[in-house]
Amino acid sequence: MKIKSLKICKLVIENLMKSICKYILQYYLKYLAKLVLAIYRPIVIAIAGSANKHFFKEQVKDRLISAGFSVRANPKDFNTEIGLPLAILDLPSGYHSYKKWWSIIWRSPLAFFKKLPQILVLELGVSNRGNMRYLLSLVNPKIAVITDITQRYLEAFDDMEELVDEYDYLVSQIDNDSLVILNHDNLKVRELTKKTKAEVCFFSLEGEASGQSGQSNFWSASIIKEEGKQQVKIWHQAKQQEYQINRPGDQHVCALLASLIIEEKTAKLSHD
Amino acid sequence: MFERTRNLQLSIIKQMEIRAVKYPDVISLAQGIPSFDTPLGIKRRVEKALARGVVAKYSLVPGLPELRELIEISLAQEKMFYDWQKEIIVTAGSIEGITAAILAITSPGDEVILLDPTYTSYKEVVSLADCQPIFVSLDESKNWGLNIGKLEKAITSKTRAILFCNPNNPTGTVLGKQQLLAIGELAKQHKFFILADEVYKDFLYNDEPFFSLAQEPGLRQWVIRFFSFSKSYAMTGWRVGYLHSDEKNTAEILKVHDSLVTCAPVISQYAAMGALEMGESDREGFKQEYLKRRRLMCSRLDKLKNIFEYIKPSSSYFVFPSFKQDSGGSWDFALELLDKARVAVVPGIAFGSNGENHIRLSFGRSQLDIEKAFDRLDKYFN
Repeated sequence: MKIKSLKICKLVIENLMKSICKYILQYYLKYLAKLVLAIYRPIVIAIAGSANKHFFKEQVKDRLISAGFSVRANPKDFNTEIGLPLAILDLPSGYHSYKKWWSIIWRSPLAFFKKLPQILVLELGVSNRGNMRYLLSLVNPKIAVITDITQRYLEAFDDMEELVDEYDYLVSQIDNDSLVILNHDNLKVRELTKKTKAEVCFFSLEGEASGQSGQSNFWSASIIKEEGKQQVKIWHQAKQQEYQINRPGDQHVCALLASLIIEEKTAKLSHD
Repeated sequence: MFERTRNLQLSIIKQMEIRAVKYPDVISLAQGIPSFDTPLGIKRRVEKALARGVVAKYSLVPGLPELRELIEISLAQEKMFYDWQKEIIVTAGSIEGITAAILAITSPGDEVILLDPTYTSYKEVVSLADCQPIFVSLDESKNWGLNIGKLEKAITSKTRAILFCNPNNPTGTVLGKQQLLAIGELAKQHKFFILADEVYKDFLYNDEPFFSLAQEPGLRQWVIRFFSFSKSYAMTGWRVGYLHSDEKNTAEILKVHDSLVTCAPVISQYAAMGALEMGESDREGFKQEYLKRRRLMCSRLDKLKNIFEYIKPSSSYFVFPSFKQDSGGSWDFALELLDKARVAVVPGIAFGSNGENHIRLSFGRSQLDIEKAFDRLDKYFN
């Protein structure tokens, strides 16, 4: 009985220590990342949504690099309260190893001397209430993309509205001289336009059928699939252009659309 | 009664394990399972999912979307491009995926080509689907390579698929790119499926890049590829893996998968997410340890060269030596080793007639177990 109680005590103390360590680590990394951002002032592009953030992030990064910008994005899925500062500071994760974490913390001040690129493309992950508020206390995005809102991660929220509130908060925090890019095919995402004062651009897979492809803020696509490749026709301002994507899946077409919008807007930004 | 199961057999590996249980001091080199426990990071991921209360309900039939998305990302790193929404199905281990695929693509009476020697359960799955297994023997003198001419001769109008394990269990050898592309050409020409079970692809010891036919866009409608988390991440008990193919195929396989298991165990799907998110360094650690064990096992086999001859495995954690003893065959030889040396091995006949006169030894076991087992074999043979 006594041994059992001791074991439980040990477990409680271990978990408490772990929580305290995590808390200290989280805030240490947060303020370190904020300082580095304040010094180098990169343009932050936020990629948020329930699904496909990775593919959007990669597509946007590749397109901006091709356009001549210096760009970095989160490695893997570093998009949470600890992952995001690691992504900004370009540090690895120690995962569940104290030893690895010590070595990362030891090296972390070197991040001050590592110049940030012109643009950071950062996934923002939301799996609990208040996650977005916390992440936005760290970064101030110039452009925000909402990929999709689905029931994924809904378990931590009372209902869908509460989950949508997280994305509401994101678009409401984007300045009026900045840009929000929304998935027109998802009703919940489409409705976010009411919550922002920033310029809004939509992308859609419904192609000309949506009837809005002539609008300046509307980009749409239709797809022909063949042997894992996709021939994509993209409409914007009544003009049509063709692209080939060497992988299957609608998510890659959406990512292409978002990246084209960003390419156009960032070209303007750098021109201005 | 029992018409369907009449010709099925409990695998010889399982039979050997059951016999071995009767000897309390036995050392088993028979089991094809890693000696490691599931890495801590994966367990923590599962604990988190349990605490969030997300494991008690079914997932979608093809699996958790977040897991399938991770699988697409991981496949793309290996130059295999498949859509997580339509072309990836999370399965209850790779064998459930193989069963679902065979049931989906064949009709009773069809022929499925198997390589010989090959993993024991393939034959049973093919028989379960009322199909005929057709064996094409691998050539031991050519590093257990496949003679394409022999394969071509085995193809008939009834051939519906070829099913193989690459890297191969039990030989630990790997089919080369040219051989695989030749299989691909035959598949396109004769319109049969290629079922590629690649569960050992993370343990390659020659540092050559692994080639999969699933990397070939022109073959995607003919290739169905299977992977399991069991070996790479020491997760044999979790029973989770996945398959991927062109959406035309997965749409049909999904119906069978639904009727067999509804979905892969959700708790294991979270474990699989943990594996893909943070299991890379553990997997690499396992590989380094297997390399040491392979070296140890081969050096111990070298000391018994009057008994055994073997091809050094370039993958997996198996050696498949032939033996020079006069005996009644591999089954009797394995029983003798069990009875007299107290070492359990798998008789080669379990993997097909071409495996006769061989035994399969697993270096999935610890170095200490390998040392002890070979001390006993040394004593027995000397």
